[in-house]
Order: sequence, then C-alpha cells, then structure tokens
Amino acid sequence: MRDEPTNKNQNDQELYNDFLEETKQSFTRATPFSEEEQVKIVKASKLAARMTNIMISLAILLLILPVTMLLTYIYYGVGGKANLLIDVAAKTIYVTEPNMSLEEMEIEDDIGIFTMHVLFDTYKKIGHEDYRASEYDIYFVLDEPNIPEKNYLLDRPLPDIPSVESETLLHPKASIPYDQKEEWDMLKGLPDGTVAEVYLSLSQLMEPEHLEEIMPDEIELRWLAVDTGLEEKQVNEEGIPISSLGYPAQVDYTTWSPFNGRDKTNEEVFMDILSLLERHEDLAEKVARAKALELKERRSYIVQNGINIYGAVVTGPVPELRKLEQVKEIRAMKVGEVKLWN
Amino acid sequence: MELKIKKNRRSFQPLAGFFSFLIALVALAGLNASLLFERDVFPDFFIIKLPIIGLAIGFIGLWTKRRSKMYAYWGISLNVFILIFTFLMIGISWTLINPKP
Repeated sequence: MRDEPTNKNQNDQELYNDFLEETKQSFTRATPFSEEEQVKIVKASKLAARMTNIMISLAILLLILPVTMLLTYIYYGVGGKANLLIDVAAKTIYVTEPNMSLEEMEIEDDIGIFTMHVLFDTYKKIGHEDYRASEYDIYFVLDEPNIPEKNYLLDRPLPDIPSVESETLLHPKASIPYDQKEEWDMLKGLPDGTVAEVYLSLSQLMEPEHLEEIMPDEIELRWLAVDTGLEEKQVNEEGIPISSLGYPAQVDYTTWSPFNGRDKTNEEVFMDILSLLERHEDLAEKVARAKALELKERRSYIVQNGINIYGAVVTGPVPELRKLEQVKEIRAMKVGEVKLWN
Repeated sequence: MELKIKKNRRSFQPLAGFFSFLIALVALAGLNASLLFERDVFPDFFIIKLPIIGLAIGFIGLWTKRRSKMYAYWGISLNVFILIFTFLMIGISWTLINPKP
C-alpha cells in the first residue's frame, strides 16, 4: 500500500523535469542571443530611443519659428489685409498732410512674427523739385497699429501733435494764431533767388477753380484744404484738435498715385479716400498727426455742401509769393519750407 | 546567421530614413537662422536643395521592410513642410503682400 504513492511521486518528478527541459530548450530557440548580446541590444535600443527623442524635440523646436512666420504671412497675405493697411496708411498722408505725397512703389513692408512694419518716405514739392520730407515707420501688431515713428528731414516741419495755436491753415472765421506781419516780413527778407512753400488761409470759402484763377501764373497750387464744418472751431466735440482735410491740387502723373487723373478727378478720388478712411478710422487717426478726424461727420458735411476750400498750400519763387500780399482773398499766410532756386 | 542578416538590414534602408530626418533638421536649422537674422534672401541651399535631397532619401527609407519607418516619415514630412513653406512664402510675399510690378 505504501509503494504506490512513492511511484506516483517519481513519475510526477520526471514529468516536471521533462517539461522544464522542454521549456528551457524552447526559450533558447526563441532568443538566440547570449546574455552579453542581449545587454548590447538593450543598450543600443536605449541609445536609439534617446536619439529619437532628441531629434523629435529638436524638430518641434525648429518648427516653431517657420510655422509662426508662415501663419503671419498667411494672415497678412490672404484676404489682402497687409495691402489694405498699407493703402489706408498711404492715403491718410495724401489727405491729412498738406503738400505731402509719397512714392507708392517705394513703400516697403517688413513682416515679423505676427507683426509688420510699413516703411515709406514722404515728399514735398518746393519750387519745381520734390524734396524728401519725412520717413515713416508704422508698426502693426496683427492689424493693430502703433503711433508711427517719424523722422522729419526738412527744416520747418509741422508740429507732431497739432494744436489750435499751431494751426497753419485757418478757416475764415477762425482766429489767426501767428503774427501776420512777421510772416510777410520773413518772406520779404528771403533772397530773390529762393523758392518757398507757403500756407494760405482764405478770407472766404471758395471753389477750387476760383482760387486757381486768382493765383499768379508762376505760383503752383499744391494742396487744397477743404471745409468740413469743423474747421471754424478747430476741435471736435471732446475738444481734441482736428486735422485739416484736403487733397492735392495737381494731377500726379505717377502711375501708382491715386491722384493720377486717369479715371477720376482729384475731387472724386478725395471723396473715395474719405470713404475708405471712414471705414478704417482707427488706423487713419494713428497715422495722421491729429488724433481726431471725425470722418463720418465731415464726409457727410462735404457730401451735403460740396467741396469748398478755405486754405491752400502753394509753392513758387519768393518774389512771386510776395505778390500774394496784395490778393484780397488771402487772409493769412505762413511760410513753410524754403529752398535755393530750382 | 540571423543576427548577421539583421545587422545588414539595419545598415541600409533604416539609415536612409534617419539621414532624411537629419537633413530636414539641418535645413530647418538653416531656415531658422535665416529668419532670425532677417535676411531678405533666403539661402536656397537650405530651403530648396537640402529638402529635395532629404525627400528623395526619405522615400528610399520608406522601402524598409519589417523595421520602423518612423524616421523616414518624419524626414519626409519635415522636408515637404520646408518646400511648402518656401513655395508659400515666395508666393504670398510676391503676389499678395504689397505686390510690385
């Protein structure tokens, strides 16, 4: 009776050993590498994983700048956002800066990450020559403009922040903040061989054609200041000085100028520009020197009353400009830039 | 014998994928440097030549069998991105932003 369990135990032992041996052999078949080789493989795998991590991290880091730049270019390019901002900035200069023009083909853009610089020069015609008047750098964060950085290149630039006291073009009912005698004396004191730019304020509102008729031949009308209903007070409802609005008196035959006279007259282009600026008044107010333009109110005034001018910028030889003192329609004169004969 | 065969495989197509990825990283680094230094003209070596080479090598890496093609996929994707970047940047800046005749 006792032998039976002993035999059974021995059989189990043998079965177990056979099974263990078989498992060992199958394991050896499945992993044909020695322990040393396996360590090498694990080390190589670790190295490969580390390398992969480094390369992927590096790729992601290096992608940040190009992806953001690409997104910025798509933002400014698709839908014409940059072109609109440039257009509004350029046209603001034409209608708010007396006797200023710019070369549309020379407007530069410099795009950074979600930012854009718009750089251009403005020109003034004094006598027969165009002089570089200022350099503009308008910095945009997306479509939000900062106050432009300006570098004035001529001797007598208009004040950067206009005020009622520094206004040069005055409505017939506005008081004159500068001494008239001093200004005429300055013009008389200038040598005959010079040319100058002067700001004329008229004694009454008149149509542009009428002013052209009363101007001596040698004098060129450059810019006309248009009555928009606010010039008498010179400030808006909040007391902020407003900027003169006007347009170039001459057709600019430069191909890309809006006032090239091909399809529309300068008056029509002026109204179109006001309409454009009205839709983008925030940007126009940043670019213009005056920080209030009140374009909606002023444009509807012009639509209602037509274009009547109260002031103008003219240029010509100083001896000819002196003759303007005898023109009764001229109420006030302020000397602008002076240059040698050209 | 088996180990020897695997070693041979490892030194062929998978390395092509790796090189494609590496070339893309070098091209990206060049592109970043150009963007940071605000150069007006991008060096075409980094934005055209290298990515095209990297793309070709990446496709060779795709033929790898029974090995990971991850490097090849990364290499191809990054090189294609650089080429698309170049194409879009030139296209947008010449035609859509402040175009000049």
